[in-house]
Amino acid sequence: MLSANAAYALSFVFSLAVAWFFAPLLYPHMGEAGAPSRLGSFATLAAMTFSLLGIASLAGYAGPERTGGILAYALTFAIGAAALWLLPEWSGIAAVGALVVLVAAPTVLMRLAEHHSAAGGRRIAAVCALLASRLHPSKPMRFYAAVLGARATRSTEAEIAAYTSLKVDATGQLHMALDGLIAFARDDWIGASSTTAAALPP
Amino acid sequence: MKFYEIRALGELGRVEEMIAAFAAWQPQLRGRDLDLCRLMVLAFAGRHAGARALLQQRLGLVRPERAAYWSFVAANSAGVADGSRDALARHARECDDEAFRRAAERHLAAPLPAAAPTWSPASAAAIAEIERAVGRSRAG
Repeated sequence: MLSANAAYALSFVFSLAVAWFFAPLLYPHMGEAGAPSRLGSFATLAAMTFSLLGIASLAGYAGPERTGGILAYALTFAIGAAALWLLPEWSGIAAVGALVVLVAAPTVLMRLAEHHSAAGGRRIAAVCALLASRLHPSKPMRFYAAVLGARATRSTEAEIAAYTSLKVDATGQLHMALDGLIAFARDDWIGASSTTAAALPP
Repeated sequence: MKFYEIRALGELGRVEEMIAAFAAWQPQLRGRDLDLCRLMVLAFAGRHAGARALLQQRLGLVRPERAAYWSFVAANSAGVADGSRDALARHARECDDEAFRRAAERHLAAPLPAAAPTWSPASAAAIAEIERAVGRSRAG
């Protein structure tokens, strides 16, 4: 089974190949007067193809980021398509810029947040997650950023207060996970064990 | 959540249960998460050589105070008194993370076990498998 990084890389290479081979079919105006440069057209078509692949891969995904991810890819595709016809000379920059800002940067920042969180670098993890949630303000991203922000506080009481405020909007497993994090912050391992055991599937 | 459950069982001294939980969840864990869970199992099981190898190699990303924490947990669980106590005590004094300090002080206050722990055949096999996976087949 492919890892997420390998799947991204393959999708990207496939998008470049599709844009390279099918550009004349996908965008017949390429090379005409007033049309974007070949490089601009190629970049726009590659970004749009990558977005379509992203939407297709997320369509069969059941995780919490499904809707937000599809929206980000759809927006990138729409920006690329609109730029190709409305701002042809700038379409490459617009499409690639949208892909970077809406998809690549939040993904990289979230990976960095996970990396630093696992390493114990709570503050830098919180900063990365906050930036990612600003670029991709879906509910799961904002929640994750808020949790990492709470973990980055120096005092236990402030951390618990932050988790408690998050519990107001949380339901089901998220609510139990926050109870587990509160117990964890208190160094209460009996509480942490009972809440995490309840939250985890058997 | 699996990470927290495994750690909670280890912190509570329910090491056999922790190893069983890890063995059950291992197929669902990957990459860094899998290595972090392996680290916790090795540390609470007292396999300090394997835990240290993991911290120095695959988990080189772990910050020094966390590495000191797991090194001490591993050594203390094995009943070994080494330099990890001083390292963790220093980090606990200097760290401004209250939760980390409290957990470190709790471990530092725990008495050294009189003998190295012994495990059921299933747990011993699970530990040996982790040690093989991290490239350390010899006992901690």
